[in-house]
Amino acid sequence: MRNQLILWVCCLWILSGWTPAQAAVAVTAQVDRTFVSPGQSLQMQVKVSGDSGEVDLSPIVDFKVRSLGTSSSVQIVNGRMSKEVSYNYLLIPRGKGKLTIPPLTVTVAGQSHRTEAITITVSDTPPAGRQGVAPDKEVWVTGELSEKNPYTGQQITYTFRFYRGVPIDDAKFQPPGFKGFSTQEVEDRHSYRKIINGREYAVTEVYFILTPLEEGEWTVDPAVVNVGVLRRRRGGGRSPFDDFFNRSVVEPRVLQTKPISVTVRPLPPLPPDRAFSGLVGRFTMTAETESTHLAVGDSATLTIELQGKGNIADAQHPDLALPAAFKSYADNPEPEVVADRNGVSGKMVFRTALVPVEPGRYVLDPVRVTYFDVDKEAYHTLKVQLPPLTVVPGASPDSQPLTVTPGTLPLLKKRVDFTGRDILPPKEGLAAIQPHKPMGWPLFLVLLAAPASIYGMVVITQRVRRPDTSAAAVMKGRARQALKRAASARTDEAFLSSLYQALTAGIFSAAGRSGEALTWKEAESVLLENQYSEEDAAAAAKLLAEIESTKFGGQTLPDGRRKTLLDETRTMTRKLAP
Amino acid sequence: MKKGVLILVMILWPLTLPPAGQAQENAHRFIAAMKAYKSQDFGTAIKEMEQIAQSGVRNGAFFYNLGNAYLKDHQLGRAILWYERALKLLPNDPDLRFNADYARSLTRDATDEKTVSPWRVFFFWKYRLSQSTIVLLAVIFNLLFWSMLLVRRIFHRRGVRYAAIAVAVPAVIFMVTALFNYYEKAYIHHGIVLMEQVSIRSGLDQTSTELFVLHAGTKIRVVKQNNTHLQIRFGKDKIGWVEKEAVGLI
Repeated sequence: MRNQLILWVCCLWILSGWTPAQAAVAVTAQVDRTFVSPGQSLQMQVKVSGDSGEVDLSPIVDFKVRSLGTSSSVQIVNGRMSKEVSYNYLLIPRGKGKLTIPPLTVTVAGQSHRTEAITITVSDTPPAGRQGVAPDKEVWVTGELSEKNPYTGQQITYTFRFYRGVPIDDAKFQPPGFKGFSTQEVEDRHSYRKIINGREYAVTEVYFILTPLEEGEWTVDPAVVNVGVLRRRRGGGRSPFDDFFNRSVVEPRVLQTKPISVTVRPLPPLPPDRAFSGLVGRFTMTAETESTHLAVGDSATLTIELQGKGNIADAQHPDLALPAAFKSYADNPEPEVVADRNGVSGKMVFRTALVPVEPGRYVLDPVRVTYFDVDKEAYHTLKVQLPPLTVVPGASPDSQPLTVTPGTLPLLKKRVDFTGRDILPPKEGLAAIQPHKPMGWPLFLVLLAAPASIYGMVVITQRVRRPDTSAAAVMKGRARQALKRAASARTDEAFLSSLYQALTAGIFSAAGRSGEALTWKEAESVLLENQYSEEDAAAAAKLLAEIESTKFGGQTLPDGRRKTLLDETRTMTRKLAP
Repeated sequence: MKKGVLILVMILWPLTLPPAGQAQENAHRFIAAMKAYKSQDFGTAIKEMEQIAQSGVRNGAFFYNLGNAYLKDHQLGRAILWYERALKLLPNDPDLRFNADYARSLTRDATDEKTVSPWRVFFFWKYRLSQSTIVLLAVIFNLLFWSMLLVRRIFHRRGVRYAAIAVAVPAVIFMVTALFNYYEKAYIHHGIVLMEQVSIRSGLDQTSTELFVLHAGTKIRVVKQNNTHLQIRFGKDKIGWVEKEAVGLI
């Protein structure tokens, strides 16, 4: 019940014609097309926002005018009501060429308001674009700089505008190259509607804050937009299903702005008695201390606020010339900076804790910051005088820091920031052009493999040259040794003993086993067992028997026999143990 | 036989050295480039040094100078490209690191990858030592290792065994790193965006959808390439195609 009552009150309030926005009457005239063929008509709408009015159509001579009625609308936004009345007309051209709808006078509440003139083109040539709009005026882009002759470091705004008079699809924006500038894009883009020559366009603006880095002639390259213009399919006419099923074709278009030349001027020479802060723009400064009466060891905060429009974010802590009886502790700067279509503005707050170490009355030097004023085109020094500080002795000994003389004042460490940026110089020595050829991977692998290969060869060699420890080899060695002894023996006994040892060792080597002594019978059978011919076995057995009999018979060897016996034994031994 | 090999080496050795005339011409060009650089004529300095680079000179200090000239000439992409090439040869040069850091600070694209990755911390030697140094260390440690094994084999010194094991660890580390560097050089390519701004698209045509935009100086990884385009990766999840002219391979 209560809700119904409120609803009725609202309706009556609206119907009563209460128009709080009466003071803001706006009158516009717009047409549905600006390009028609002879015999075609167009519609004109005169909108009166705020109240109803009376439209004087008598100035229109190039067109026949028929009324299509009136419509009105009421909007309540955020508790504010606004009313708009639209007067609709059908215009039929009376001729060809450029025809004009002159400014129309609309009388609202006794006051006269005028619309803008609208030019209509009537031609036999069918319009190429949609809804009678020339293609170059369906969608277009512009780029604009707020200042074409800025100073180095002065912030300027590049505004990109995208005008759309027809539906579009899938627009892609490529910002221009800003060579010679540091760039910051403003996050907030601005969209609005604008009537141009009686036609309504949607406009989107994109902003970039540019800061010239160096003096000279620079060019802002074109910004490019790739856009698809939606067109209804030709042929077959339009049906209600066209919109529902999005039966349209996309005509790709590439739009670009014109390049803009910029002449960046250098900053004028700095007056000799001033220190430039690097700030370019328009700034103000305030400074204040938390307290002017302090005790030794207490802390008072000195707050310096630097604010304005320009490169405020680059502001450094102003230099403070403090008496030696103060310690200072600087906080990190607190930036409050915003970037909008008008540029970068805001403030930087610098806080410094001042701690007196000696009582007394101190007059602090003013805080000075010199910046370049872009409006006055001159350096300007901001100066704020700080109030004198009175320092009394601390209440307790603990609260009093040691008295520090200026010469022994402890150094306050502070983070070192860059005060300027540049690169280090080139390396000028001719050594810089000495070619340095890196090692290729094949050579690298060869160098890796070489030591391993050498090691491998050594191992193989060692293995090849390792002594044979088999029984056959051992016995063969003994046979060789015994033969050497026999050759150098001085007595017959030693000679025969050595021959016996050489021959038995040779036989054992042939058999592949070890042993010390053999009878001639055993020797023959051993050799036969090891696949030696009967002839060889018999010869060996005979030789062994002869040596044994000579040795144990105590006979003296005749001349020449010693040599032949040695040769026969050597030959047999080599045959058995080659 | 030995005499023949010696003669062959003596014939081939001069072919591996730059011609004397070329070296002299490079020296003249370099002096002219430095003179132009000092007189702020960076265009001439670049032109002269590019000629030297085309003659095949590969030197970290020279690449550093070329990066400097491009940076002074406001060609951020090419400046970072030459700094990156120089860093491969002189990773610890303080001047080079300073200038390269400064140039990188001027780029507009922020990567979503961590500045200091665990990979770089764990395999610090790969990034702190030049590739030539790593190769040299691998060869030296490898030689030491096998020499110790040889000493042990021939002279039967048992204490050498532990020294050989100690040397084997750095030998393996540097060998694997060097081999990975060779692999990386052959198969993993990085590049630097040269143009002020370039659209990375979903395909090879200009009408392909623009996926994202990169700006001069941004480092990207080349995934694959054809005659006209490179498929590149930026960050963890951004991949697309770009014209070859827009990117310089490091």
